[in-house]
Amino acid sequence: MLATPASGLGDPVVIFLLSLQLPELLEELAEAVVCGYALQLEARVAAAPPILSAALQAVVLARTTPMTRNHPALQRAGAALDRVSRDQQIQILSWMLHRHGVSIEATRLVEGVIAMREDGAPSEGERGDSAETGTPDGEQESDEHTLGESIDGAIASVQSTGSCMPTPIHPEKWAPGDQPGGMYVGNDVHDKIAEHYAASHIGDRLALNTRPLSTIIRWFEEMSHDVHAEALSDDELARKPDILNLRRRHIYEIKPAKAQGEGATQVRMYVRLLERAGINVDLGPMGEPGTIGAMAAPGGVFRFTSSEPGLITYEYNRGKLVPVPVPFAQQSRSNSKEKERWRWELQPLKLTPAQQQAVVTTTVGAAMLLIVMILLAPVGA
Amino acid sequence: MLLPSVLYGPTPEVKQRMRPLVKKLVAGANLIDVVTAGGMLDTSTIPGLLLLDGVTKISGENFHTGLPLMPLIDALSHPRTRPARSIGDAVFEQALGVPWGILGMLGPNGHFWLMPETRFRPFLDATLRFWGELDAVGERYCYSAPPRRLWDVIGTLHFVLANLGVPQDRLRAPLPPGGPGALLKYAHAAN
Repeated sequence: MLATPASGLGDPVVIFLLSLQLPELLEELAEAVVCGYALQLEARVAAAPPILSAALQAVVLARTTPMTRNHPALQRAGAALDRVSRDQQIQILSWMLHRHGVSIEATRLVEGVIAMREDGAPSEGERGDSAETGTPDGEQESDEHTLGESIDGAIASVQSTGSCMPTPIHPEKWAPGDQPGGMYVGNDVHDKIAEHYAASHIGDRLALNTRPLSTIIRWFEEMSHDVHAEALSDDELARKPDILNLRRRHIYEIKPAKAQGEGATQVRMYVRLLERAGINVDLGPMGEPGTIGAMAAPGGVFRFTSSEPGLITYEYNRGKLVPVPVPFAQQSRSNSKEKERWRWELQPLKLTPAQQQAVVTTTVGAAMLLIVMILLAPVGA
Repeated sequence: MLLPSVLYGPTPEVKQRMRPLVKKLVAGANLIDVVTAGGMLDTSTIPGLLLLDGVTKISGENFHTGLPLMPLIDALSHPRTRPARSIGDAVFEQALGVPWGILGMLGPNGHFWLMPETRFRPFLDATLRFWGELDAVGERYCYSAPPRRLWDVIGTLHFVLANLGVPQDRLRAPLPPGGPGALLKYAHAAN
């Protein structure tokens, strides 16, 4: 339809888009933007009712990384959002949040932004100054009022107290020492997933993160396997798989979700190296105990899953994880009642002073979107 | 508990110190002589975590209790540098005689020291002998954060008990008042 020129009787693209309910409109636009039609759409909706521009810019913004508070995409989307009704603003923000699994009521977010703007930004002198603790992006964590704590109703707490649900997962202290933040988090996540796996496989011989292939091969030799360690170079013998269950002969690599392809290549490389040494191992099965979960991490939380055989991928976010009940209708679609009674949802952490400053000095729409982007941003983005 | 001072400090520094020690041990030096040459530190007066498996990215000054035994088992296993089997046997025997030697094998990868499986029982006996002293350190042990009591970090002791037949749910549960030894009543009769 985008290939069809606008006619004198009205642009068919605009007519079609306006016929949709806002959530469907956002989904349609998201699909079109993924397919590379953002620029054509922008031209077609420029003269249309402002809801189309607001929806389109929000969809484009949701795909823009890295995001800063002065990013043109944020400013454009903010200006467009300012031109639609409060109800439409809430629907757009809500779509952005829930699409990414963030558990905040957009209504409360909008109220919070307005409250913050009425309160004004914190001054320099009000900022905390702790040398020991900080945030993953290097800004100092302060004790001052936060979006969630001091602005009444800024962000809804949807923490559930269901009896069979786990307790919320809160971030751990951020203390990287002299390590780069990414490496600090990556190592922590590797250790935690390995330990989680070990707790589910007590009694199995496991090589976790730090044991080289040379030591692993030696164990197989000890178990009377006919091994050929000499077939591997010193560099190859020094390589360390993330998780190798020697008893089950299952191997896993642990990778951030966005490096899944790299992880898949790496784990297959280990399988081939061991094969050359005379040892057959399998890619670890998906859904194996200890390969799925959610845990605290420094300055945030992470969720992990066995996304394909031999691979455990994780997503790390600022925020805390709270268990929320799954509605009955969704439960009934599942075969596993126990697993589907609740799910983890991400809730936000504090805004930094700089972020709070930006919220009160930009347009209302941009401020709302800024907060949404902060909530959705993975650490390091 | 007294731990060798050579194990204490920031990770890169301690790791650096281990290289010559591991070389000496591979050459047949006595574990206790080599590791305690610099004296001992008392965990009740020196702050810091007790890092099982030894190599970690946890910052600050800590006790790297998995060193030097974990890099040593790698050196003893390497096909191109492997010394006579008797070297590893001797180090294992020496490690069983001191609490820090046991601690060096208690991390999640420590079971690599328990090859062949005839080492299970001597290792368990030595661990139970020193358990009170090891456990008294409190919530300062970790493989990954946060620090916990020694029993709460799944490692070689759990591995051995599981292989002796203690059910996994018993091993994941809080430790009974009698300590790990009390779990042996759940082990296979043959053990």
